[in-house]
Amino acid sequence: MAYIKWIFLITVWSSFAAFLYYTLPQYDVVRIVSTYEERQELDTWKSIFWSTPDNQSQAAVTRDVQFIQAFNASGDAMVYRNEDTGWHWPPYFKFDTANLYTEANDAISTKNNPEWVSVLHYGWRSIFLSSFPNAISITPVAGPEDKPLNWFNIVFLTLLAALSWAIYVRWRRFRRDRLDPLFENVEDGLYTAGDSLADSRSRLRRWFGSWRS
Amino acid sequence: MFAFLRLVLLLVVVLTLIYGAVSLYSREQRRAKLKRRWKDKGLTGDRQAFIQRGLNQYDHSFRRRLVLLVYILPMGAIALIIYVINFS
Repeated sequence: MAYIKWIFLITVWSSFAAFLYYTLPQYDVVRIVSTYEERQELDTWKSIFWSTPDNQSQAAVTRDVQFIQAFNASGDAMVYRNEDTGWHWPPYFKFDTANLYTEANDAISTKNNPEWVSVLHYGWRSIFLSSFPNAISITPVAGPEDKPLNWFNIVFLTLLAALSWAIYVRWRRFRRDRLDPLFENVEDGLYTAGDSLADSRSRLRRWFGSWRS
Repeated sequence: MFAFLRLVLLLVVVLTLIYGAVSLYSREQRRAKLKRRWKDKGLTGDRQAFIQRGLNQYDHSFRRRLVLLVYILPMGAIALIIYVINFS
């Protein structure tokens, strides 16, 4: 039973952490090398890793998606997709996909003469799931070490922790003051019922005993 | 457009629920405060009228209008995100 409880708790909390990790914004400092467009299949379960399409193309099963190819300072390849989030989840309200594509093309630089930019993005790059993080904005930075501080995540996670703590403390207090006395009453009632049952049973036994003799 | 309408509908429903809950809670807090003041100051006379007058004052107060922040803050946050992401 203890195992089931732990497996359940670990599953719930890791799903929650994964959800935050996927949804919250992150910065990468990279050098953009190219951009391309590729037709993507959208009728598999992996469509959760693509943005919800516009109304007119919702029935379509394939769609052209823009990509931005980049390298970070340690030489790892990174590929971002470039899609509107629109009014859909996650709430980035990104509508300037075409503009961002233009900015990305403008920021293309060579290895010998690198031009570093910080790419704000959400999502995961997974080569097994073929998922790509969605680039939200591109800002020029001084160099590979000039990574912007993620103020939004600091504020958001602090507020989230404070809110969870406030709710947890209130729930504990509610349980201690209201629920526990209630259960104790019920338990007391059960014990009294059990006692009286045992009492009447022993009386019955005594009565049977009086028969025997 | 459908996604926009869905978001607006969701916001209207959720925020209205929150608005209703917060304004009821805030009014009850004010009522409890008035009762406490009546007791602490040892006032005499029509207690019901005293509380009604206090609540009436509350209904026209700036404090009550602050509950509208329930609508203003999320809408403002969305407007700010749209500006920061797309226009700067």
